[in-house]
Amino acid sequence: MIYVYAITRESALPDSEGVDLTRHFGTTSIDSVSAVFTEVGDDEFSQETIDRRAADLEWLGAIGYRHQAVVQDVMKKTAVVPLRAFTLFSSEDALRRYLHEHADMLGAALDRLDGKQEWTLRVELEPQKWSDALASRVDSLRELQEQIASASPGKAFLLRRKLDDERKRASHEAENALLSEVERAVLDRLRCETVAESRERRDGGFPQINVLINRDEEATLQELHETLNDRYASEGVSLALTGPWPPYTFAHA
Amino acid sequence: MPDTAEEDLSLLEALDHLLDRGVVIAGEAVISIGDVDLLYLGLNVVLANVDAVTRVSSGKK
Repeated sequence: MIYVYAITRESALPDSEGVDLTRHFGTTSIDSVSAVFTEVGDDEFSQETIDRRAADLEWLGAIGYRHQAVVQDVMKKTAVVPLRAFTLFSSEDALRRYLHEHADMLGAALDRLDGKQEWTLRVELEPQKWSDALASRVDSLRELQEQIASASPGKAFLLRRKLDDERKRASHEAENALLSEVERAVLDRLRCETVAESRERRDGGFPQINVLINRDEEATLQELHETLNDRYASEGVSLALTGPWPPYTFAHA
Repeated sequence: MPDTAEEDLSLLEALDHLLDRGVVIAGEAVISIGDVDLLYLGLNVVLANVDAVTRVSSGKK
């Protein structure tokens, strides 16, 4: 079985260890694209093994760490389309067929990603402050709060229940609006591509925006990050910036 | 391997980028990482979630 780390423009070997803890890498080239890989045992990376070991963070982390190190190493030498961890082919022939069939798409991706970095802006919410700030973002909440203030005890009780439901809906909508605002601010400031991931897309995790920038625009992104944090602090919103990552998200976007 | 909470978070963030929600479809084989939810659980322990917002809003902490 062939474990592939990245598609590259030129054949390039990493200096770091591979997922098998050796430095035995292979490369194969066809139609102006190459791939860097490690040959691994069929059992070691079978779906059955992965199912059994996926909950083992130490194992998963070790694979991820080595995969990441190889991709970053190769990126220093040539343009790459980074592949996600556990990208597997049954044989080198199968990998060559894939490269041949997708050569145009992969060549275009190499051109697009050359000299680029991926960064991630995660939108984190402090529950109490964000909840309080919702009233100023959403008219219907403010109106309900005003009605409760002047209502009889019985009516106020019913209105409070309505307010709870309304707040859940409003929080969801306001969060998506906030995500769009932040994405707009990034696109206005930087010449970049973005992929926004809502809370639904993130399976309940905080939403985030992946940003693909030129390497020389890192300082501008850092500056924008600070500006946005200042802008939203009073609403309990903070943005966590992580990177640079190999452009995993944009390799498939 | 990482031995601090900060490094654990960095590892989770790296895996978050590397695994793409538990399914890898770039290769010939489609591999699913069945227990990848654990990673998100790990992240959510560190980071608040929407239910917490709702609980605070409703005064039911």
